[in-house]
Amino acid sequence: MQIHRFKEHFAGYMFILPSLIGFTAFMLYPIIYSIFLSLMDWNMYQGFGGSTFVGLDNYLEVFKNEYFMGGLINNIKLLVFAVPILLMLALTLAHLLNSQVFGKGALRTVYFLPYITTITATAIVFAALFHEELGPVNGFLRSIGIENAPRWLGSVEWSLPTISIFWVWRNLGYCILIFLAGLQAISPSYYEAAEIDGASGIQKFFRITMPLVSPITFFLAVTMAIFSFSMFAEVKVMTEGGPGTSSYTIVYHIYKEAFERYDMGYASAASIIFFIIILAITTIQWLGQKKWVNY
Amino acid sequence: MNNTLHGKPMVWKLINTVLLALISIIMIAPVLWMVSTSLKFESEVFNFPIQWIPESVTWDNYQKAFTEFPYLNWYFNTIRNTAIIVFSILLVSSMAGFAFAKIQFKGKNLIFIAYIASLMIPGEMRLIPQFMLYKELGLINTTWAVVLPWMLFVAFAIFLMKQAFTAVPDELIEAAKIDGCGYFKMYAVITLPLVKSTLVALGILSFTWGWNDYTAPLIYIQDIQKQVLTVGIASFKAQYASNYALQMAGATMALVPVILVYLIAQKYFTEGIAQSGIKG
Repeated sequence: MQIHRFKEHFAGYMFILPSLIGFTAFMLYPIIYSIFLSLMDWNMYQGFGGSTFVGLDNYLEVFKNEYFMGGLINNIKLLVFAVPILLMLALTLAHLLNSQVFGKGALRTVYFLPYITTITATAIVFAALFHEELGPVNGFLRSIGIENAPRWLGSVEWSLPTISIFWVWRNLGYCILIFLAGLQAISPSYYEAAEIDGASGIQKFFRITMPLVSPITFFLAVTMAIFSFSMFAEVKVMTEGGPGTSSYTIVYHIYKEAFERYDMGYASAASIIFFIIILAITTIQWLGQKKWVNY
Repeated sequence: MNNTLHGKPMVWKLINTVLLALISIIMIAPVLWMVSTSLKFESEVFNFPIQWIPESVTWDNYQKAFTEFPYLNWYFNTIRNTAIIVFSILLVSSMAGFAFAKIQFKGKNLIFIAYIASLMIPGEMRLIPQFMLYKELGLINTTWAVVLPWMLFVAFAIFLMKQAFTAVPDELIEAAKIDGCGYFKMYAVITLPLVKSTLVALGILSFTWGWNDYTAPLIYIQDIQKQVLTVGIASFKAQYASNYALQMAGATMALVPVILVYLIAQKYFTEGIAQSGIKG
């Protein structure tokens, strides 16, 4: 019996061994090493010997850095504007897709398609579509009589909104799909009862659909909040953070500091602050799941 | 829902369909514009109104992508990386998932909780220490730098596989044990075929992860010959900023494989995605 037990334990460890190595090397070690680096004025060329311990100096510097603060403000703008717009569009479209419609399958296929596309490929497509002088979007706006069309990626006011349009386009399908799964789980009897009571379509949407999908809305809000905070590829490909710092994000700032200026100590401190923000969002999810969600 | 009302449902159904179809055109338009532009001469790219079907078709842009850039290398590297990533995610996470679901061993729950907790760690936070690690190990500029983290540890995939194996009845495992069947055989021969649909869904998700991986190759691969498509086509924009037809040809060729896989296997895609949503 003892041998049998030992064999079972041993087998268990053997089966998880590769993932345990991966967990240690690519999760545990990086976290600990990040914390260590964030406390150092790290010299990339001389390594440990040429580096000095600076305590929390890097963290203080992060909050004083205008690029970081600019990125943080942009991330907050994305959170406040892009995420709610994305969720509202997704819920509306999911609701329409869930009602009586021809060609449901084909429509769903099309809506979901952007989500699987390679970011860099579609980012350069959007950059061309929104080209300030020649792009088809402004061509269209001019054709309907708008003379001062926005300069999109070329302007300080519009660069972040343009990136957000691309971001919403790409993530809409995912949110629709998750909402659809939630809507399909709502029992038709609620709607039937409401119809007997003479409820209108809009009433049904606000009184039945919205409350019943609120757990899903909440899940998506948190997922997309984290997603928007991690925005990087879109910025790198479409604007390089510009013009000026108008489309900087936190992760783009970390990337610049770490891999263009090789300021690893500072960048590590910034990435830990980034992690704490993400953790705060996740904690809100945990706590909020009970409070804000009406079943 | 409106079935009970007379006359109305048909009209609503039509209005709904038209509305959704119009919006779906906006969703697909960028992709169609990309394909159509890639076949145009540069001088005709921005003609307005948009010519969706090019007046004169040219394959020059495609040819140029291969001659001006190491596009064939990028293609090959992307396919190789994606193949390695898909295969190892399936193997490693199904093994771990099997162990977590069907084998009793010390510390199992603790390790699983640690794995799940790691889902909260943003990948961006790991880039810097990973870069330093790769530098120490001399892995910068090698494929390993890109594929190793995917090969060894994808927490979400392990979670998905654990769920699938949990659904396999314990009686099957017990019966196999009585027959003297070893754990490896139990995993590979008895239970693996039973979680086939999860494997397919995960395989397809992994394909998109591998194919669309951008940040890691951007940072860890500096030699343009060793680069992958995602980073390569972004460099089109930097080098040929005003050659849009060329950029679109590069983008089209990078997108075609993912879109094809999606169209063929979309049922599994949506299943995998829906499962990812349920975790919330």
